[in-house]
Amino acid sequence: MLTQPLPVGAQTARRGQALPGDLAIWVFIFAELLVFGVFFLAYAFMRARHVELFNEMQLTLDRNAGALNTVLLITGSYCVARAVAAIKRDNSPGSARWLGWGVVAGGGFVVVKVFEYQAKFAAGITLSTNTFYMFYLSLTFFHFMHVILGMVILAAVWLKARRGGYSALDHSGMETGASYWHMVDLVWIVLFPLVYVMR
Amino acid sequence: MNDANPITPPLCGTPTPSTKGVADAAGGGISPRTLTTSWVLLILATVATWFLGEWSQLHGSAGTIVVFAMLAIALVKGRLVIDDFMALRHVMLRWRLLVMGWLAALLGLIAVAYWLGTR
Repeated sequence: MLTQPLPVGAQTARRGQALPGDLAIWVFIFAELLVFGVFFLAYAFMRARHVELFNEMQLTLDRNAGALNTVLLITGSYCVARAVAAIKRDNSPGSARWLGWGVVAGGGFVVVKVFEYQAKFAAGITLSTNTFYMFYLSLTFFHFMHVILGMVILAAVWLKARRGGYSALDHSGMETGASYWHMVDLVWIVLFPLVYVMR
Repeated sequence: MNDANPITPPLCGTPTPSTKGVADAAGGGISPRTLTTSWVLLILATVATWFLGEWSQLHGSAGTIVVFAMLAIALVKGRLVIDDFMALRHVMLRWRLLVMGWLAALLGLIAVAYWLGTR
């Protein structure tokens, strides 16, 4: 019996699909995950040496704000995933709307975080207050910068989507931006229990 | 390499028109219903983590079991984001394992660090 060669697409599907978006963003994402991983482990092992200080200082954090920000990032990530799902079905206006909500959720995260920082700075807390706050401020601010960059990327993708710049057959750019945004969400999913909750 | 179909799939990007239909049929696109289910589970898991935080504060410390539960919740949440939101569920296994491996190794080492702090 002769075996007909499978079409290219079938072979791709059988072997596993390509990474969504541009390969360059994935190199960047893997590098970012590595850097965040090192920071998180530095925090965790430093905490093991100063458990009492870290537990005491953790009580001065606003856990409700941390949880609210987790909800906002997860919701933003969900909206962006829905935007990609919509464009795959060639629903360009729907995709743009979901991206807009993703930007709103990211903006909500920024507002909550700014209020948190404001409260800490008003209490006279700085990087040199103690080891805990050195880690807290640098870790969360490093993540905050990624949220800002993610929002800039999302806003650019959103503007292009509003002009009908993506379609079911051409949405690699949207997937690229979405992948970065999900990375920002993924990192926070580790940061929240590690810094705000674990004691 | 002994391979009957030596066509290498692309590393990245939207499938070309000729491949897209097959890819979606194989589960490439994550459906809106799956995404919504994942979102609901992620919110519930976040509430559970927040609750464990409140409980830990009342008791002074969480204890190893509760902290391990928090980290297990983070693993489940991370997997939902990786598989459904990032849509890595159907990508080549090596990429999915790389991201999942990062998450599992990181949470595992955080668990070790916590345990060291209790000694």
